[in-house]
Amino acid sequence: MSFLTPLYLLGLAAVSLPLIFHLIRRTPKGRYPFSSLMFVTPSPPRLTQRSRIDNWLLLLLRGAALILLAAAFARPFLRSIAQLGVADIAGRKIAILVDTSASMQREGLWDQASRKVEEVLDDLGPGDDVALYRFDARHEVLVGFDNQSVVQPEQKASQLRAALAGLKPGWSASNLGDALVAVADEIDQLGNTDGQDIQTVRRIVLVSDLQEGARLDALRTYHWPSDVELVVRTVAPVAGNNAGLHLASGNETPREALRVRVSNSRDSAREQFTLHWEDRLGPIADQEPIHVYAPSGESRVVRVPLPPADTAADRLVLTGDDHDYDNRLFRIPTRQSELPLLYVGDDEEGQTGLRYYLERAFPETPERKVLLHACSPEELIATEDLDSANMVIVSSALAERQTDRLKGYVESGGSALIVLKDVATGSTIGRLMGPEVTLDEVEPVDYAMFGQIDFTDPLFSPFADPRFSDFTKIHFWQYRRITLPTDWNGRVLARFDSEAPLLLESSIGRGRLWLLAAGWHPKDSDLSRSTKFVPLLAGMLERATGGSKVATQYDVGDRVPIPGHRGLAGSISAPNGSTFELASDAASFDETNEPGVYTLTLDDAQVSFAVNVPAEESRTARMSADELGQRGVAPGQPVTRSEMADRLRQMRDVELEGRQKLWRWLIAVALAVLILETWLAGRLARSTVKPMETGA
Amino acid sequence: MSTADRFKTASRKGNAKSNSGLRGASYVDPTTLMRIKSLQMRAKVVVEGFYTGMHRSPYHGFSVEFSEYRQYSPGDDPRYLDWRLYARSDRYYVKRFEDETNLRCHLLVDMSQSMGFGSVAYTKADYAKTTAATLAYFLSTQRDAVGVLAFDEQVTEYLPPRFRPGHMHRLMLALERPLAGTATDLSKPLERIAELVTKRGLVVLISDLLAPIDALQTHLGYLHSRGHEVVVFRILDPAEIDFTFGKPAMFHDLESGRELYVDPATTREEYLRRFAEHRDGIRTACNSLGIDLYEATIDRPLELVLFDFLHARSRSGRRVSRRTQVGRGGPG
Repeated sequence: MSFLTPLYLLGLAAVSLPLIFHLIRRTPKGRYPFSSLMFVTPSPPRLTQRSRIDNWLLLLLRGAALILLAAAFARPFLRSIAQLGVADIAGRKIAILVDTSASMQREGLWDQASRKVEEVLDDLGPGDDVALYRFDARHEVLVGFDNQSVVQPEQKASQLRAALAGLKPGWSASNLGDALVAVADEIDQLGNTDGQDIQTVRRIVLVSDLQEGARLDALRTYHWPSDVELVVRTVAPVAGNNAGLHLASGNETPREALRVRVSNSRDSAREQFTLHWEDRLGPIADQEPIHVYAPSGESRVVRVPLPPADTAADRLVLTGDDHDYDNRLFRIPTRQSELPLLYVGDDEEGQTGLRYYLERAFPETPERKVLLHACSPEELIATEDLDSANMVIVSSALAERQTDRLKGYVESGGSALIVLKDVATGSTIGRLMGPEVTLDEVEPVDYAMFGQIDFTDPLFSPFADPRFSDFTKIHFWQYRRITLPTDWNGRVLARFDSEAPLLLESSIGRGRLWLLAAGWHPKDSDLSRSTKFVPLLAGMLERATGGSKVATQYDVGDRVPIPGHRGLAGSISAPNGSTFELASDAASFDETNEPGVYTLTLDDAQVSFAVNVPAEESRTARMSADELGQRGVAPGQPVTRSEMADRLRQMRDVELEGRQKLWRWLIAVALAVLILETWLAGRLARSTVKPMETGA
Repeated sequence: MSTADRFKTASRKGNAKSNSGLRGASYVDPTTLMRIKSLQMRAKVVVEGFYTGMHRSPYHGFSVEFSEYRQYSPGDDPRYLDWRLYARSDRYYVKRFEDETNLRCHLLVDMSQSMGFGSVAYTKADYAKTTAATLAYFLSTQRDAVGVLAFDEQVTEYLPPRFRPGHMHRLMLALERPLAGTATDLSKPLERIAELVTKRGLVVLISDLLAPIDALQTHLGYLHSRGHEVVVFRILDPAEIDFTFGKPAMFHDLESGRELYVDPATTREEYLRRFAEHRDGIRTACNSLGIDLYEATIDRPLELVLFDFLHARSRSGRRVSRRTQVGRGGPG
């Protein structure tokens, strides 16, 4: 006989209640006021004499009823022969998730992490299956779960140890949220698909420094599976003093100084740091170190004078903290690229013409300088500017030969914008896009406006935000209605409120052609005076130059776009000396695995870019304990195998008890005893009352 | 039927058991009497009932206005010769007046907390007040001056003896004050009355006398030696006399606030013994001083208290006359 809820057996103590009540009944209850106690002697309470049990049978019945009730509540059951042992527990699924972000490069952390993983591997029992994952900005399976039903833990553990031995922390940021979500999903589905008992423990052992810079965004929208438990094994450095050095602003706005941010972690005890320039070989000579004061938990933005131009200094180094991994800031001087632009038109000079506004639409920036060349339609045939131009803007009707030259430029991959300033340009369009395309002059009542805009197009997507999507202030006094053939395969990016196309994009050969149905000069519209004009043209230019170009600064793990890589041979040399050959169709380079200066060689042209440790990795203070809990993940203590066996035993007991339901019988007997007791008590009461009545 | 008659009828029907010794006598049932709120009305009911029942009283003929004719003997003041009687009977008689119009009665009423005890529907204090009120009313009908002194451990109220309109009302008000003090201390009020009352008079002490005997004896003796006539009514509850409590309980001393666990079954004998000792002590003290002591349990009809009072008066009258005779006979 066993009990499911043996604590209820404490209710057996209630058996003493009838006795206690019996005794209490004898203790003085009354309180008499009396005139004077001068003649009264106190008498000691003598309960024993009076605590004589009057009716043993009643007492026994009441005691029996209480015992039966207590026993019923304790849920008794007859245990079957099967006894559970530790070996009966179903195998556990344990996913070990190791943090390999840059912050794990701190001294001693990786050794600790390896030991923590070892501890988990040592605890493996028969039937346990274990997998090893690593994560930084991305997560990766190193050793996956076995799909076989019989798992050899020793074999698996040695497999994991081998994988762990080849693992070391990288330089990326840590995206803990993403990794947890992915592993939780995987381990959750694993338990459900292989048809195992629901009792299978699914556990994620996270080995990490839990730095506060780790990203947890993914957990915010994720519903953590209830049967996946998370056990956090935190590693902590011996010394927490860490400061990081990062670029505060991409552009060197005063050209002779670089703005950098020195951020000191919350658990740091140091406050004084110095900065100096270094080249490949070490610190450059004759430089004054810059002293920075940054209290713990705060950051300071410092303007660091650029190194002399005759040195090869490409990195700024911070000294004064205990951890070196985030103390170097690689820097490549900003390159200004020149973008030639050809304008073909014969409109008048001054504010009434188109060109006046075009010249002012492309101001010079540190990264870009637009060189606008203008020529008349007649000069188009001869000019060499067309071949070097990134984009051509045409506002006049062209003769057939000139049109053909333009078409050749577009078909070879160029971009052209034709502004339909008047219906005369219709012949040019007809030659470019087909004779069915015709133009009609439209002069709307009052004015026309933007009616429909395709904000999904890259040209308009920067305006998609509701703060910028108001185009209603742009008025068109007149425009040209473009009639398109039914089989036209281009896209209408914007329409007037009269449904007539406003801006079209059409692919011709490898290039693209934009048609704007009205000019931006005051005679046609006030487009040039609106805030949309400059971004719209800049967007066109960006698309014409092949999207984004190689910037000078990236973080580790960032994707570097490779623009204009039209089947040319190219390679990238990494800071550690290795070289990556680019595939002919590669649009980006993803192997920015370590900080340093990378060089992209593309068709004899070389472009360098710097890759640095992400700024989040310098926030090394440990995140608060409830940070994970607030996102629905409550890290718990691991359940040992014996605890697991207990839990399983308890569940079996519940099932057995549920089948036997002995408590019902006990309650029934208790009720019967109570009925008997009531009857007996009533009878005794009557028999004591009667003599009194007859006596009275 | 008068109010008094009605009460008498009620008494006959309902109070037979509690006053089994007085069965058949037509007295007002004290429980019924105490239901009358006005103290003066209670006193009136008792006194009028007393008058109505006077012809059946065994104490018939006693009165405060006791007077006598005495045969003249040489040495008596000839001014008091009753010449009319002489004319009728041809004998010399001296007309002897009691000093009754000059009788000054002090009612000393114990208002201590112990008087707040009552095992019946009312307390000893109620009974004591009613007794005092009855005596006062009775004496006022005899045109005597009555004063009252209420006390607990000290004097709380003092009205000097007067006979004038409105005095009775004030006296009743003074008696109706609620109990306030704690202990019974007879020494202070007795000292005080000895200070205040210089003229000889009647002092009626109404108390439960639940206090040490020694001081009581001293002060009563002092009062008696000043020439006052002292009558003591000891008001007791039947429960105090018989200690008829059943179950063990905490007993709460009304005066000291002390609490004792008492099992009456074991304590009763000892209580009765000590109570009897105390009672004998008081009795001995009063006897030695020649003070009349009457015990009144609070279920006793008040008329009987009045009889006791008159009995005491009559005894004192005889005592006085005896003393007078002896005194007068000396020089004669």
